[in-house]
Amino acid sequence: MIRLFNIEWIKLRKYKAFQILTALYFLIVVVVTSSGMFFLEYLKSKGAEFHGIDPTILPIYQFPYLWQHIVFVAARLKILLAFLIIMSITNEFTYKTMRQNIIDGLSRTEYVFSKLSMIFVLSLVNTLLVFIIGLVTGLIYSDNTSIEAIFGNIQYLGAFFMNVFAFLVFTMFLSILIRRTGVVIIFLGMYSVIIEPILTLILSNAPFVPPFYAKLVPFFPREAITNLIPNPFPQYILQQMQDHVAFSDVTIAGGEMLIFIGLIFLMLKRRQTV
Amino acid sequence: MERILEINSLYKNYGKIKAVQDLSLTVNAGSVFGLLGPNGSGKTTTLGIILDVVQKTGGTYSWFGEKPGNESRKKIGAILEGPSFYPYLSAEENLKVTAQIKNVSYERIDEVLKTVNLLDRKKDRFQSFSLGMKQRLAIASALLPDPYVLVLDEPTNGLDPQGIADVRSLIVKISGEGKTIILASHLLDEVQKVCTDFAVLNKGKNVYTGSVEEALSNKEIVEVKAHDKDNLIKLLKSCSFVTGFSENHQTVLVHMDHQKNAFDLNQYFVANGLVISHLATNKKNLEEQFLEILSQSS
Ligand SMILES: Nc1ncnc2c1ncn2[C@@H]1O[C@H](COP(=O)(O)OP(=O)(O)O)[C@@H](O)[C@H]1O
Ligand SMILES: [Mg+2]
Repeated sequence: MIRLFNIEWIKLRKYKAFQILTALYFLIVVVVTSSGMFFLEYLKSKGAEFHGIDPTILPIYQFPYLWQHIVFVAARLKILLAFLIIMSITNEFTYKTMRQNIIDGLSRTEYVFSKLSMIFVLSLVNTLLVFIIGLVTGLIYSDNTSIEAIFGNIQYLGAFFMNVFAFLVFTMFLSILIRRTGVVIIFLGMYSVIIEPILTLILSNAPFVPPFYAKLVPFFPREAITNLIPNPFPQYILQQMQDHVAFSDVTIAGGEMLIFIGLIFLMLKRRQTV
Repeated sequence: MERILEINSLYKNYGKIKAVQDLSLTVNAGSVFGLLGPNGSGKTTTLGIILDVVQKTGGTYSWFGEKPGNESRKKIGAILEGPSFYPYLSAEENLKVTAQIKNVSYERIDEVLKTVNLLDRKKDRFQSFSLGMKQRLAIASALLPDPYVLVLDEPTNGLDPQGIADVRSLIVKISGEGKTIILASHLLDEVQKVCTDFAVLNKGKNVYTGSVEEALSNKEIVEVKAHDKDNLIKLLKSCSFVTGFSENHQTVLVHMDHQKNAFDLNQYFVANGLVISHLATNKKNLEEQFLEILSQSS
Protein backbone atom coordinates (compact mmCIF):
# COMPACT_ATOMS: atom_id res chain seq x y z
CA MET A 1 0.00 0.00 0.00
CA ILE A 2 2.85 2.37 0.81
CA ARG A 3 4.37 1.63 -2.57
CA LEU A 4 1.03 2.40 -4.24
CA PHE A 5 0.71 5.67 -2.35
CA ASN A 6 4.29 6.51 -3.22
CA ILE A 7 3.61 6.06 -6.92
CA GLU A 8 0.74 8.55 -6.76
CA TRP A 9 2.75 10.89 -4.54
CA ILE A 10 5.65 11.06 -7.03
CA LYS A 11 3.19 11.76 -9.82
CA LEU A 12 1.71 14.70 -7.93
CA ARG A 13 4.22 16.28 -5.59
CA LYS A 14 6.10 18.24 -8.28
CA TYR A 15 2.96 19.07 -10.19
CA LYS A 16 2.30 22.82 -9.96
CA ALA A 17 -1.46 22.50 -10.27
CA PHE A 18 -1.46 20.03 -7.38
CA GLN A 19 0.70 22.25 -5.21
CA ILE A 20 -1.41 25.31 -5.90
CA LEU A 21 -4.79 23.62 -5.51
CA THR A 22 -3.94 21.85 -2.25
CA ALA A 23 -2.33 24.95 -0.77
CA LEU A 24 -5.27 27.08 -1.83
CA TYR A 25 -7.76 24.55 -0.54
CA PHE A 26 -6.20 24.18 2.88
CA LEU A 27 -5.76 27.93 3.15
CA ILE A 28 -9.42 28.50 2.36
CA VAL A 29 -10.45 25.85 4.87
CA VAL A 30 -8.39 27.50 7.59
CA VAL A 31 -9.61 31.00 6.82
CA VAL A 32 -13.27 30.14 6.41
CA THR A 33 -13.62 27.83 9.40
CA SER A 34 -11.69 29.99 11.82
CA SER A 35 -13.19 33.33 10.95
CA GLY A 36 -16.72 32.62 12.15
CA MET A 37 -16.65 35.18 14.95
CA PHE A 38 -15.39 37.88 12.62
CA PHE A 39 -18.19 37.00 10.27
CA LEU A 40 -20.77 37.34 13.03
CA GLU A 41 -19.26 40.67 14.12
CA TYR A 42 -19.58 41.79 10.55
CA LEU A 43 -23.24 40.72 10.45
CA LYS A 44 -23.83 42.61 13.67
CA SER A 45 -22.21 45.76 12.35
CA LYS A 46 -24.55 45.54 9.35
CA GLY A 47 -27.45 45.41 11.76
CA ALA A 48 -28.42 41.80 11.16
CA GLU A 49 -30.27 39.95 13.85
CA PHE A 50 -31.78 36.52 14.42
CA HIS A 51 -35.22 36.86 15.89
CA GLY A 52 -34.04 39.66 18.09
CA ILE A 53 -30.82 37.92 19.09
CA ASP A 54 -27.44 39.50 18.69
CA PRO A 55 -25.61 37.28 16.14
CA THR A 56 -22.35 37.32 18.08
CA ILE A 57 -23.91 35.32 20.91
CA LEU A 58 -24.69 32.41 18.55
CA PRO A 59 -22.74 29.43 19.94
CA ILE A 60 -20.89 28.57 16.76
CA TYR A 61 -17.61 27.89 18.52
CA GLN A 62 -19.07 26.33 21.65
CA PHE A 63 -17.99 22.79 22.38
CA PRO A 64 -19.47 20.35 21.59
CA TYR A 65 -21.72 22.04 18.96
CA LEU A 66 -18.65 23.47 17.28
CA TRP A 67 -17.87 20.24 15.44
CA GLN A 68 -21.09 20.13 13.51
CA HIS A 69 -20.76 23.81 12.58
CA ILE A 70 -17.20 23.61 11.48
CA VAL A 71 -17.43 20.39 9.44
CA PHE A 72 -20.61 21.54 7.78
CA VAL A 73 -18.87 24.68 6.57
CA ALA A 74 -15.65 22.90 5.66
CA ALA A 75 -17.60 20.31 3.65
CA ARG A 76 -18.86 23.08 1.32
CA LEU A 77 -15.32 23.71 0.15
CA LYS A 78 -14.27 20.28 -1.08
CA ILE A 79 -14.95 21.07 -4.72
CA LEU A 80 -11.35 22.26 -4.97
CA LEU A 81 -10.13 18.84 -3.95
CA ALA A 82 -12.48 17.34 -6.51
CA PHE A 83 -10.73 19.37 -9.25
CA LEU A 84 -7.50 17.88 -8.10
CA ILE A 85 -8.77 14.32 -8.32
CA ILE A 86 -10.36 15.00 -11.70
CA MET A 87 -7.08 16.32 -13.08
CA SER A 88 -4.99 13.58 -11.58
CA ILE A 89 -7.13 10.98 -13.30
CA THR A 90 -8.15 12.53 -16.60
CA ASN A 91 -4.54 13.62 -17.19
CA GLU A 92 -3.59 9.97 -17.18
CA PHE A 93 -5.96 9.31 -20.04
CA THR A 94 -4.83 12.38 -21.97
CA TYR A 95 -1.15 11.51 -21.60
CA LYS A 96 -1.73 7.74 -21.86
CA THR A 97 0.22 7.33 -18.65
CA MET A 98 -2.28 4.99 -17.05
CA ARG A 99 -1.79 2.70 -20.01
CA GLN A 100 1.95 3.02 -19.59
CA ASN A 101 1.65 2.25 -15.86
CA ILE A 102 -0.14 -0.98 -16.70
CA ILE A 103 2.36 -1.86 -19.42
CA ASP A 104 5.10 -1.28 -16.87
CA GLY A 105 3.56 -3.90 -14.62
CA LEU A 106 0.97 -2.21 -12.42
CA SER A 107 -2.28 -4.16 -12.22
CA ARG A 108 -5.59 -2.38 -12.68
CA THR A 109 -6.39 -3.14 -9.06
CA GLU A 110 -3.13 -1.62 -7.89
CA TYR A 111 -3.79 1.42 -10.05
CA VAL A 112 -7.18 1.99 -8.42
CA PHE A 113 -5.75 1.48 -4.94
CA SER A 114 -2.94 3.88 -5.68
CA LYS A 115 -5.50 6.58 -6.54
CA LEU A 116 -7.70 5.63 -3.59
CA SER A 117 -4.76 5.83 -1.21
CA MET A 118 -4.19 9.44 -2.26
CA ILE A 119 -7.88 10.20 -1.80
CA PHE A 120 -7.70 8.56 1.62
CA VAL A 121 -4.68 10.58 2.67
CA LEU A 122 -6.14 13.86 1.38
CA SER A 123 -9.36 13.19 3.27
CA LEU A 124 -7.43 12.30 6.40
CA VAL A 125 -5.20 15.37 6.28
CA ASN A 126 -8.27 17.45 5.67
CA THR A 127 -10.01 15.94 8.70
CA LEU A 128 -6.95 16.43 10.90
CA LEU A 129 -6.72 20.03 9.81
CA VAL A 130 -10.36 20.65 10.64
CA PHE A 131 -9.83 18.92 13.98
CA ILE A 132 -6.94 21.23 14.80
CA ILE A 133 -8.86 24.33 13.73
CA GLY A 134 -11.82 23.17 15.79
CA LEU A 135 -9.64 22.59 18.82
CA VAL A 136 -7.91 25.95 18.56
CA THR A 137 -11.01 28.04 17.85
CA GLY A 138 -12.93 26.16 20.54
CA LEU A 139 -10.26 26.75 23.13
CA ILE A 140 -10.32 30.42 22.24
CA TYR A 141 -14.08 31.02 22.12
CA SER A 142 -15.80 28.20 23.98
CA ASP A 143 -17.03 28.72 27.54
CA ASN A 144 -16.97 25.03 28.30
CA THR A 145 -13.62 23.36 27.68
CA SER A 146 -14.11 20.17 29.62
CA ILE A 147 -12.95 16.98 27.96
CA GLU A 148 -16.56 15.77 27.67
CA ALA A 149 -17.58 18.95 25.93
CA ILE A 150 -14.60 18.98 23.59
CA PHE A 151 -15.05 15.40 22.46
CA GLY A 152 -18.79 15.36 22.86
CA ASN A 153 -19.69 15.55 19.19
CA ILE A 154 -16.49 14.28 17.74
CA GLN A 155 -18.42 11.83 15.54
CA TYR A 156 -18.94 14.77 13.18
CA LEU A 157 -15.28 14.55 12.29
CA GLY A 158 -15.84 10.94 11.25
CA ALA A 159 -18.81 12.07 9.20
CA PHE A 160 -16.65 14.78 7.65
CA PHE A 161 -13.96 12.31 6.70
CA MET A 162 -16.52 10.09 5.08
CA ASN A 163 -18.20 13.02 3.38
CA VAL A 164 -14.93 14.10 1.73
CA PHE A 165 -13.78 10.56 0.95
CA ALA A 166 -17.10 9.49 -0.56
CA PHE A 167 -17.34 12.65 -2.64
CA LEU A 168 -13.84 12.17 -4.00
CA VAL A 169 -14.59 8.53 -4.79
CA PHE A 170 -17.68 9.68 -6.70
CA THR A 171 -15.50 12.20 -8.52
CA MET A 172 -12.98 9.49 -9.32
CA PHE A 173 -15.77 7.33 -10.69
CA LEU A 174 -16.94 10.13 -12.99
CA SER A 175 -13.37 10.86 -14.11
CA ILE A 176 -12.74 7.25 -15.10
CA LEU A 177 -16.15 7.01 -16.74
CA ILE A 178 -15.88 10.21 -18.78
CA ARG A 179 -12.08 10.59 -19.12
CA ARG A 180 -12.11 14.19 -20.46
CA THR A 181 -11.15 16.86 -17.91
CA GLY A 182 -13.50 19.60 -19.04
CA VAL A 183 -16.44 17.29 -19.54
CA VAL A 184 -16.06 15.77 -16.07
CA ILE A 185 -15.91 19.21 -14.43
CA ILE A 186 -18.96 20.44 -16.31
CA PHE A 187 -20.88 17.24 -15.66
CA LEU A 188 -20.05 17.20 -11.96
CA GLY A 189 -21.15 20.85 -11.67
CA MET A 190 -24.36 20.29 -13.61
CA TYR A 191 -25.11 17.12 -11.72
CA SER A 192 -24.61 18.59 -8.26
CA VAL A 193 -26.24 21.94 -8.86
CA ILE A 194 -28.95 21.16 -11.39
CA ILE A 195 -29.65 17.54 -12.26
CA GLU A 196 -29.83 15.91 -8.85
CA PRO A 197 -31.50 18.80 -7.00
CA ILE A 198 -34.22 19.08 -9.62
CA LEU A 199 -34.73 15.34 -9.83
CA THR A 200 -34.95 14.91 -6.07
CA LEU A 201 -37.24 17.93 -5.81
CA ILE A 202 -39.59 16.40 -8.35
CA LEU A 203 -39.51 13.00 -6.67
CA SER A 204 -40.25 14.35 -3.24
CA ASN A 205 -42.69 17.15 -4.04
CA ALA A 206 -44.33 16.85 -7.43
CA PRO A 207 -48.04 15.98 -7.10
CA PHE A 208 -47.95 13.59 -10.08
CA VAL A 209 -45.20 11.40 -8.58
CA PRO A 210 -46.40 8.51 -6.37
CA PRO A 211 -45.29 9.06 -2.77
CA PHE A 212 -43.13 5.92 -2.83
CA TYR A 213 -40.56 7.66 -5.02
CA ALA A 214 -39.76 10.17 -2.31
CA LYS A 215 -38.15 7.28 -0.45
CA LEU A 216 -35.53 7.04 -3.17
CA VAL A 217 -34.27 10.56 -2.63
CA PRO A 218 -31.74 9.74 0.12
CA PHE A 219 -30.07 7.28 -2.21
CA PHE A 220 -28.99 9.85 -4.81
CA PRO A 221 -25.21 10.22 -4.52
CA ARG A 222 -25.04 13.91 -3.71
CA GLU A 223 -27.91 13.57 -1.29
CA ALA A 224 -26.33 10.52 0.37
CA ILE A 225 -23.04 12.33 0.80
CA THR A 226 -24.58 15.61 2.00
CA ASN A 227 -26.87 13.87 4.49
CA LEU A 228 -23.85 12.67 6.44
CA ILE A 229 -23.52 16.12 7.94
CA PRO A 230 -26.91 17.68 8.74
CA ASN A 231 -27.08 21.44 8.38
CA PRO A 232 -26.81 22.88 11.92
CA PHE A 233 -27.83 26.42 11.10
CA PRO A 234 -31.63 26.18 10.67
CA GLN A 235 -31.92 25.90 14.47
CA TYR A 236 -30.83 29.50 14.76
CA ILE A 237 -33.90 30.62 12.90
CA LEU A 238 -35.87 28.27 15.12
CA GLN A 239 -36.33 25.44 12.68
CA GLN A 240 -36.02 21.77 13.32
CA MET A 241 -32.82 20.02 12.45
CA GLN A 242 -31.16 16.66 12.82
CA ASP A 243 -28.62 16.98 15.62
CA HIS A 244 -26.71 13.74 15.18
CA VAL A 245 -24.96 11.61 12.62
CA ALA A 246 -27.55 9.04 11.62
CA PHE A 247 -26.53 5.42 11.29
CA SER A 248 -28.78 5.03 8.25
CA ASP A 249 -27.04 7.94 6.50
CA VAL A 250 -23.63 6.45 7.18
CA THR A 251 -24.78 3.08 5.87
CA ILE A 252 -26.20 4.56 2.67
CA ALA A 253 -23.14 6.71 1.95
CA GLY A 254 -20.74 3.87 2.83
CA GLY A 255 -22.66 1.40 0.70
CA GLU A 256 -22.71 3.72 -2.28
CA MET A 257 -19.02 4.43 -1.89
CA LEU A 258 -18.35 0.70 -2.14
CA ILE A 259 -20.62 0.45 -5.16
CA PHE A 260 -18.74 3.25 -6.92
CA ILE A 261 -15.42 1.61 -6.16
CA GLY A 262 -16.83 -1.63 -7.54
CA LEU A 263 -17.99 0.17 -10.69
CA ILE A 264 -14.53 1.69 -11.12
CA PHE A 265 -13.00 -1.80 -11.09
CA LEU A 266 -15.65 -3.09 -13.42
CA MET A 267 -15.08 -0.30 -15.94
CA LEU A 268 -11.32 -0.79 -15.98
CA LYS A 269 -11.60 -4.57 -16.30
CA ARG A 270 -14.24 -4.45 -19.02
CA ARG A 271 -12.75 -1.81 -21.26
CA GLN A 272 -11.50 -3.01 -24.64
CA THR A 273 -8.50 -0.73 -24.41
CA VAL A 274 -7.02 1.41 -21.66
CA MET B 1 16.59 -21.96 -27.71
CA GLU B 2 14.78 -20.13 -24.93
CA ARG B 3 11.36 -18.84 -25.87
CA ILE B 4 10.65 -15.28 -24.85
CA LEU B 5 7.23 -14.89 -26.38
CA GLU B 6 4.82 -17.29 -27.90
CA ILE B 7 1.55 -16.23 -29.50
CA ASN B 8 -1.01 -18.83 -30.53
CA SER B 9 -3.86 -18.09 -32.84
CA LEU B 10 -4.60 -14.61 -31.53
CA TYR B 11 -7.77 -12.80 -32.60
CA LYS B 12 -9.01 -9.28 -32.00
CA ASN B 13 -12.19 -7.74 -33.32
CA TYR B 14 -13.18 -4.14 -32.78
CA GLY B 15 -16.84 -4.54 -33.64
CA LYS B 16 -16.74 -5.50 -37.29
CA ILE B 17 -13.10 -4.62 -37.77
CA LYS B 18 -10.92 -7.71 -37.65
CA ALA B 19 -7.75 -6.14 -36.34
CA VAL B 20 -5.90 -9.41 -35.69
CA GLN B 21 -6.77 -12.79 -37.17
CA ASP B 22 -5.30 -16.15 -36.26
CA LEU B 23 -1.90 -14.69 -35.51
CA SER B 24 0.79 -17.04 -34.27
CA LEU B 25 4.45 -16.35 -33.78
CA THR B 26 7.41 -17.18 -31.60
CA VAL B 27 10.21 -14.92 -30.46
CA ASN B 28 13.39 -16.55 -29.28
CA ALA B 29 15.86 -15.16 -26.78
CA GLY B 30 18.53 -12.94 -28.23
CA SER B 31 16.74 -12.12 -31.44
CA VAL B 32 15.63 -8.75 -32.73
CA PHE B 33 12.20 -9.56 -33.97
CA GLY B 34 10.54 -7.24 -36.46
CA LEU B 35 6.79 -7.03 -36.72
CA LEU B 36 6.44 -5.54 -40.14
CA GLY B 37 3.26 -4.38 -41.76
CA PRO B 38 1.58 -1.37 -43.32
CA ASN B 39 -0.38 1.05 -41.15
CA GLY B 40 -3.52 -0.56 -39.78
CA SER B 41 -2.22 -4.10 -40.17
CA GLY B 42 -2.63 -4.87 -36.47
CA LYS B 43 0.87 -4.40 -35.07
CA THR B 44 -0.07 -2.05 -32.23
CA THR B 45 -3.16 -4.12 -31.43
CA THR B 46 -1.05 -7.27 -31.18
CA LEU B 47 1.49 -5.58 -28.91
CA GLY B 48 -1.35 -4.04 -26.87
CA ILE B 49 -2.79 -7.48 -26.25
CA ILE B 50 0.47 -9.07 -25.16
CA LEU B 51 1.06 -6.07 -22.87
CA ASP B 52 -2.40 -6.42 -21.34
CA VAL B 53 -3.83 -3.07 -22.35
CA VAL B 54 -6.07 -4.37 -25.14
CA GLN B 55 -8.50 -7.20 -24.57
CA LYS B 56 -8.13 -10.10 -26.95
CA THR B 57 -11.09 -11.72 -28.66
CA GLY B 58 -9.44 -15.13 -28.75
CA GLY B 59 -6.19 -17.05 -28.64
CA THR B 60 -3.39 -17.32 -26.12
CA TYR B 61 0.08 -15.96 -25.50
CA SER B 62 2.80 -16.58 -22.98
CA TRP B 63 5.86 -14.66 -21.84
CA PHE B 64 8.97 -16.56 -20.76
CA GLY B 65 6.98 -19.78 -21.06
CA GLU B 66 4.68 -18.67 -18.23
CA LYS B 67 1.12 -17.55 -17.94
CA PRO B 68 1.29 -13.78 -18.45
CA GLY B 69 0.64 -11.42 -15.52
CA ASN B 70 1.84 -8.27 -13.79
CA GLU B 71 5.11 -9.91 -12.81
CA SER B 72 5.99 -10.79 -16.39
CA ARG B 73 5.27 -7.21 -17.48
CA LYS B 74 7.64 -5.90 -14.85
CA LYS B 75 10.43 -7.78 -16.61
CA ILE B 76 9.53 -6.28 -19.97
CA GLY B 77 10.41 -2.79 -21.11
CA ALA B 78 7.79 -1.58 -23.53
CA ILE B 79 6.69 1.50 -25.43
CA LEU B 80 3.42 1.44 -27.29
CA GLU B 81 2.66 4.11 -29.89
CA GLY B 82 5.14 6.71 -28.78
CA PRO B 83 6.46 7.91 -25.44
CA SER B 84 3.89 8.38 -22.64
CA PHE B 85 5.05 10.44 -19.68
CA TYR B 86 3.83 13.10 -17.27
CA PRO B 87 4.71 16.27 -19.19
CA TYR B 88 5.05 18.44 -16.08
CA LEU B 89 7.54 16.13 -14.40
CA SER B 90 11.25 15.97 -15.06
CA ALA B 91 12.87 13.04 -16.82
CA GLU B 92 14.12 11.84 -13.46
CA GLU B 93 10.76 12.08 -11.69
CA ASN B 94 9.09 10.29 -14.58
CA LEU B 95 11.56 7.45 -14.30
CA LYS B 96 10.96 7.30 -10.56
CA VAL B 97 7.34 6.47 -11.27
CA THR B 98 8.43 3.61 -13.55
CA ALA B 99 11.04 2.46 -11.03
CA GLN B 100 8.41 2.33 -8.28
CA ILE B 101 6.05 0.34 -10.48
CA LYS B 102 8.74 -2.09 -11.56
CA ASN B 103 10.35 -2.36 -8.11
CA VAL B 104 13.67 -1.13 -9.45
CA SER B 105 16.21 0.82 -7.40
CA TYR B 106 16.52 4.55 -8.16
CA GLU B 107 20.21 3.95 -8.80
CA ARG B 108 19.31 2.57 -12.20
CA ILE B 109 17.89 5.94 -13.28
CA ASP B 110 21.22 7.62 -13.92
CA GLU B 111 22.53 4.52 -15.63
CA VAL B 112 19.74 4.30 -18.16
CA LEU B 113 19.72 8.06 -18.72
CA LYS B 114 23.39 7.77 -19.54
CA THR B 115 22.74 4.92 -21.97
CA VAL B 116 20.35 7.09 -23.96
CA ASN B 117 22.46 10.21 -23.59
CA LEU B 118 20.04 12.23 -21.51
CA LEU B 119 21.87 12.36 -18.21
CA ASP B 120 22.52 16.09 -18.46
CA ARG B 121 18.81 16.73 -19.06
CA LYS B 122 17.47 14.70 -16.16
CA LYS B 123 16.15 17.71 -14.24
CA ASP B 124 14.33 19.08 -17.26
CA ARG B 125 10.66 18.59 -17.75
CA PHE B 126 9.46 16.03 -20.23
CA GLN B 127 7.40 18.67 -22.04
CA SER B 128 10.54 20.62 -22.87
CA PHE B 129 12.05 17.66 -24.77
CA SER B 130 12.25 17.24 -28.52
CA LEU B 131 10.48 14.22 -29.95
CA GLY B 132 13.78 12.42 -30.38
CA MET B 133 14.65 13.02 -26.73
CA LYS B 134 11.19 11.89 -25.66
CA GLN B 135 11.64 8.69 -27.59
CA ARG B 136 15.05 8.13 -26.04
CA LEU B 137 13.60 8.74 -22.59
CA ALA B 138 10.98 6.10 -23.38
CA ILE B 139 13.74 3.68 -24.26
CA ALA B 140 15.53 4.60 -21.04
CA SER B 141 12.38 3.86 -19.11
CA ALA B 142 12.03 0.53 -20.90
CA LEU B 143 15.62 -0.31 -19.92
CA LEU B 144 15.10 0.43 -16.22
CA PRO B 145 14.50 -3.13 -15.01
CA ASP B 146 17.43 -4.33 -17.09
CA PRO B 147 14.82 -6.32 -18.98
CA TYR B 148 15.22 -9.50 -20.94
CA VAL B 149 13.03 -8.06 -23.57
CA LEU B 150 12.22 -4.70 -25.04
CA VAL B 151 9.05 -4.05 -26.98
CA LEU B 152 9.22 -1.00 -29.22
CA ASP B 153 6.31 0.15 -31.35
CA GLU B 154 7.37 2.35 -34.26
CA PRO B 155 10.29 3.83 -32.29
CA THR B 156 11.41 6.15 -35.07
CA ASN B 157 8.00 7.43 -36.09
CA GLY B 158 8.02 11.18 -36.62
CA LEU B 159 11.71 11.63 -35.82
CA ASP B 160 14.11 13.69 -37.91
CA PRO B 161 16.98 11.87 -39.65
CA GLN B 162 19.33 12.48 -36.74
CA GLY B 163 16.74 11.19 -34.28
CA ILE B 164 16.14 8.13 -36.44
CA ALA B 165 19.86 7.41 -36.60
CA ASP B 166 20.21 7.85 -32.81
CA VAL B 167 17.35 5.52 -31.99
CA ARG B 168 18.47 2.88 -34.48
CA SER B 169 22.01 2.82 -33.25
CA LEU B 170 20.66 2.61 -29.71
CA ILE B 171 18.60 -0.44 -30.68
CA VAL B 172 21.60 -2.08 -32.30
CA LYS B 173 23.69 -1.30 -29.23
CA ILE B 174 21.10 -2.75 -26.86
CA SER B 175 20.64 -5.89 -28.92
CA GLY B 176 24.42 -6.23 -28.94
CA GLU B 177 24.16 -6.65 -25.17
CA GLY B 178 22.20 -9.81 -25.77
CA LYS B 179 18.73 -8.47 -25.14
CA THR B 180 15.72 -9.61 -27.06
CA ILE B 181 13.91 -6.86 -28.90
CA ILE B 182 10.49 -6.91 -30.48
CA LEU B 183 10.11 -4.04 -32.88
CA ALA B 184 6.97 -3.08 -34.74
CA SER B 185 7.48 -0.99 -37.81
CA HIS B 186 5.91 -0.13 -41.13
CA LEU B 187 9.38 0.67 -42.45
CA LEU B 188 11.09 -2.18 -44.22
CA ASP B 189 14.32 -0.45 -44.29
CA GLU B 190 14.24 -0.28 -40.49
CA VAL B 191 13.50 -3.97 -40.09
CA GLN B 192 16.21 -4.76 -42.59
CA LYS B 193 18.72 -2.63 -40.72
CA VAL B 194 18.12 -3.77 -37.16
CA CYS B 195 16.22 -7.07 -37.09
CA THR B 196 17.38 -10.67 -37.19
CA ASP B 197 13.91 -12.17 -37.67
CA PHE B 198 10.64 -10.80 -38.81
CA ALA B 199 7.00 -11.48 -39.43
CA VAL B 200 4.90 -9.64 -41.96
CA LEU B 201 1.40 -8.66 -40.94
CA ASN B 202 -1.25 -7.78 -43.44
CA LYS B 203 -4.85 -7.06 -42.45
CA GLY B 204 -4.26 -8.68 -39.10
CA LYS B 205 -2.81 -11.90 -40.48
CA ASN B 206 0.71 -13.17 -40.24
CA VAL B 207 1.56 -13.68 -43.89
CA TYR B 208 5.26 -14.41 -43.64
CA THR B 209 7.77 -15.37 -40.96
CA GLY B 210 11.46 -15.88 -41.43
CA SER B 211 14.91 -14.63 -40.66
CA VAL B 212 16.01 -11.42 -42.29
CA GLU B 213 19.20 -12.98 -43.51
CA GLU B 214 17.33 -15.80 -45.15
CA ALA B 215 14.86 -13.45 -46.69
CA LEU B 216 17.70 -11.46 -48.15
CA SER B 217 19.78 -14.39 -49.36
CA ASN B 218 16.79 -16.29 -50.56
CA LYS B 219 16.48 -14.14 -53.60
CA GLU B 220 20.09 -13.49 -54.35
CA ILE B 221 20.50 -12.35 -57.89
CA VAL B 222 23.91 -12.22 -59.53
CA GLU B 223 24.75 -10.09 -62.53
CA VAL B 224 27.18 -11.73 -64.91
CA LYS B 225 28.88 -10.57 -68.11
CA ALA B 226 31.14 -12.66 -70.33
CA HIS B 227 32.62 -12.15 -73.78
CA ASP B 228 31.55 -15.66 -74.66
CA LYS B 229 27.90 -15.11 -73.92
CA ASP B 230 26.72 -18.25 -75.71
CA ASN B 231 28.91 -20.44 -73.55
CA LEU B 232 27.72 -18.53 -70.47
CA ILE B 233 24.08 -19.27 -71.31
CA LYS B 234 24.87 -22.89 -72.04
CA LEU B 235 26.64 -23.32 -68.70
CA LEU B 236 23.85 -21.61 -66.78
CA LYS B 237 21.30 -23.96 -68.32
CA SER B 238 23.20 -26.99 -67.16
CA CYS B 239 24.07 -25.65 -63.69
CA SER B 240 22.30 -27.52 -60.88
CA PHE B 241 21.82 -24.59 -58.48
CA VAL B 242 20.72 -21.94 -60.94
CA THR B 243 16.95 -21.64 -60.76
CA GLY B 244 16.57 -19.24 -63.63
CA PHE B 245 18.11 -16.36 -65.51
CA SER B 246 17.14 -13.45 -67.66
CA GLU B 247 19.08 -11.47 -70.23
CA ASN B 248 19.31 -7.74 -70.08
CA HIS B 249 21.40 -6.48 -73.02
CA GLN B 250 24.91 -7.69 -72.34
CA THR B 251 24.20 -8.58 -68.72
CA VAL B 252 22.66 -11.82 -67.56
CA LEU B 253 20.73 -11.86 -64.26
CA VAL B 254 21.11 -15.20 -62.55
CA HIS B 255 18.71 -16.46 -59.86
CA MET B 256 20.03 -19.16 -57.58
CA ASP B 257 19.14 -21.44 -54.70
CA HIS B 258 19.35 -19.57 -51.43
CA GLN B 259 22.33 -21.53 -50.10
CA LYS B 260 24.44 -20.47 -53.06
CA ASN B 261 26.01 -17.15 -53.79
CA ALA B 262 28.27 -15.38 -56.29
CA PHE B 263 31.29 -17.26 -55.01
CA ASP B 264 29.76 -20.64 -55.90
CA LEU B 265 28.75 -19.39 -59.31
CA ASN B 266 32.21 -18.08 -60.06
CA GLN B 267 33.76 -21.35 -58.91
CA TYR B 268 31.46 -23.21 -61.28
CA PHE B 269 32.49 -20.97 -64.20
CA VAL B 270 36.18 -21.43 -63.41
CA ALA B 271 35.76 -25.19 -63.18
CA ASN B 272 34.15 -25.14 -66.61
CA GLY B 273 36.77 -22.91 -68.16
CA LEU B 274 34.68 -19.78 -68.62
CA VAL B 275 36.27 -16.41 -68.11
CA ILE B 276 33.81 -13.76 -67.03
CA SER B 277 34.23 -10.02 -67.29
CA HIS B 278 31.71 -8.86 -64.65
CA LEU B 279 30.25 -10.42 -61.53
CA ALA B 280 28.08 -8.53 -59.07
CA THR B 281 25.59 -9.49 -56.39
CA ASN B 282 22.34 -7.68 -56.78
CA LYS B 283 20.41 -8.30 -53.60
CA LYS B 284 16.78 -7.94 -54.22
CA ASN B 285 15.87 -5.71 -51.36
CA LEU B 286 13.38 -6.62 -48.73
CA GLU B 287 11.08 -3.93 -49.96
CA GLU B 288 10.45 -5.64 -53.26
CA GLN B 289 9.88 -8.88 -51.42
CA PHE B 290 7.64 -7.18 -48.87
CA LEU B 291 5.47 -5.74 -51.61
CA GLU B 292 5.48 -9.13 -53.28
CA ILE B 293 4.36 -10.83 -50.06
CA LEU B 294 1.62 -8.30 -49.51
CA SER B 295 0.33 -8.57 -53.05
CA GLN B 296 0.31 -12.35 -52.83
CA SER B 297 -1.57 -12.31 -49.56
CA SER B 298 -4.32 -9.87 -50.46
N1 LIG C 1 -9.50 1.29 -30.25
C1 LIG C 1 -9.85 0.90 -31.49
N2 LIG C 1 -11.14 0.88 -31.86
C2 LIG C 1 -11.51 0.47 -33.08
N3 LIG C 1 -10.67 0.08 -34.04
C3 LIG C 1 -9.36 0.07 -33.75
C4 LIG C 1 -8.88 0.49 -32.47
N4 LIG C 1 -7.53 0.38 -32.47
C5 LIG C 1 -7.19 -0.08 -33.70
N5 LIG C 1 -8.28 -0.26 -34.47
C6 LIG C 1 -8.30 -0.78 -35.85
O1 LIG C 1 -7.60 -2.00 -35.87
C7 LIG C 1 -6.80 -2.12 -37.02
C8 LIG C 1 -5.36 -2.34 -36.65
O2 LIG C 1 -4.82 -1.18 -36.06
P1 LIG C 1 -3.38 -1.11 -35.40
O3 LIG C 1 -3.19 -2.30 -34.55
O4 LIG C 1 -3.24 0.22 -34.77
O5 LIG C 1 -2.44 -1.22 -36.67
P2 LIG C 1 -0.91 -0.82 -36.85
O6 LIG C 1 -0.31 -0.63 -35.50
O7 LIG C 1 -0.34 -1.98 -37.59
O8 LIG C 1 -0.89 0.42 -37.66
C9 LIG C 1 -7.03 -0.85 -37.82
O9 LIG C 1 -8.02 -1.11 -38.79
C10 LIG C 1 -7.54 0.12 -36.80
O10 LIG C 1 -8.38 1.06 -37.39
MG1 LIG D 1 0.69 1.09 -34.80
